[in-house]
Amino acid sequence: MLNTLKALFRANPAGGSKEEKSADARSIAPGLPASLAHVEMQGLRLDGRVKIQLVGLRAYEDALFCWDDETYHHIAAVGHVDLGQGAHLVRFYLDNDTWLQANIEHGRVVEYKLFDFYRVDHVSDAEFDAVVNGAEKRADALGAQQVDISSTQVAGKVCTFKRVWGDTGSLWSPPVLFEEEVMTTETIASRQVRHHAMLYERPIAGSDRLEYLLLSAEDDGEGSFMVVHNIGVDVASVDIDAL
Amino acid sequence: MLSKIMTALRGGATEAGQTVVDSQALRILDQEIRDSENQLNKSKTELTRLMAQRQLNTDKVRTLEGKIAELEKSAEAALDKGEEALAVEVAERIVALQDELDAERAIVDEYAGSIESLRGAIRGTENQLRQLKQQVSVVKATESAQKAQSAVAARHSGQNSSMGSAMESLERIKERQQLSAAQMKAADEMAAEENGSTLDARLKAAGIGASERKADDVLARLKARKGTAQE
Repeated sequence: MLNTLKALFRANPAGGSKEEKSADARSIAPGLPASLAHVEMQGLRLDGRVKIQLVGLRAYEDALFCWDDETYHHIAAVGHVDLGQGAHLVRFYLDNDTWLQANIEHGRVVEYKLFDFYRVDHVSDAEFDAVVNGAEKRADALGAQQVDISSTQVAGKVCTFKRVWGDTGSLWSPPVLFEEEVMTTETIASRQVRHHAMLYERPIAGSDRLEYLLLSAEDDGEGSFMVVHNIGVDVASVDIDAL
Repeated sequence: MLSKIMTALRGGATEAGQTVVDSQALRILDQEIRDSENQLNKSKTELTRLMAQRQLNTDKVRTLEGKIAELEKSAEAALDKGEEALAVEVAERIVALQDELDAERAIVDEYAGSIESLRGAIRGTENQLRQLKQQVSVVKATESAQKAQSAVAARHSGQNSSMGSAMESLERIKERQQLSAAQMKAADEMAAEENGSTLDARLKAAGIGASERKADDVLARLKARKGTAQE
């Protein structure tokens, strides 16, 4: 399970960038475990700002993911998922409804991914249960073999994402469950969010890049249930400029 | 320091005053060896830190190379679509990253140079320490042998001793002389160690590892066998 989870977030297993440890690494967020305080994440931190340069992506019109290269975005919240055995996910939630995820293994960031909340659907408790348990097992549902996403930019354009996790031959695979602890700039205490997630990917036509769909049913523990379609791409550490 | 010991040995280490000097010298030498070992360990720690740092910069070089290659492809795609302005924007980004790449490569080269020179220094220090330890152990062994012999002599030098005869006294004098000779030989070996290893010379003398001697022995044996067969 752990290996699966770790593999999930890795688009380029051979070419992940390894970030250095730094003795003077800044505290990235209160509430994060001490073991992560020394992990160098390009200076990313709660209440900081970050500019991410993805100019090369604009050359491929097939990409659903759009990005503004020139703006420094405020990091309004930081989420942490402990995957066990020295593996962690740290998510930096930005003020433009996007989030940058650092995949950490044994004190080093092995890759970054940038996701956009492409679509958010609020569901009832009963609907949520049906989604996470695959009660209907319909096409495009959480855990399905493939999911079609319509472009919000180009009318009539549909992109097909194939499931990364689970048995490739199976029509439906149960979502992966993990707990995220989220700390914001506005709250003193962190809050827990439970994710039932499934990762999908597709190649961006004309490029060597992949585009990801992280489909996640989220329970915030306070009676709010959502199904979120996150569209994302890989980000190199050199593209991140954090303040 | 070493010359002091050798001088003391040559001057007759069996004398009480000189023995005190020798034992102090050895103690100082032991401390110096321990200090050198500590310094060596610190150097090794520094070497591993430099190696880790070089690895991190090498990783960054690879990241930048990958990113530049990816952007080159993006620029080509932009040109294919006729988006000249976007291609220029991508090219500007490539230039910025190329500068960063050149700087990172220079840093990696610098680390590599530092690592190589520190490695050499560590190797040299390790060799010196090993030789010094060998020499000191030879001196210590000789000294303890001398003490043991002195104790034997003392036990048998009383009035009721069965070793009271002139002949036995003569034997003891001979023993002492042999010990002195052994000490002088040890001192000579130490001096020779400084000018290069005497191990090979001693092994050869002992007939170990001396290929010429082995060959001679074999030839001699073969000749002897041949001679026996002919008789």
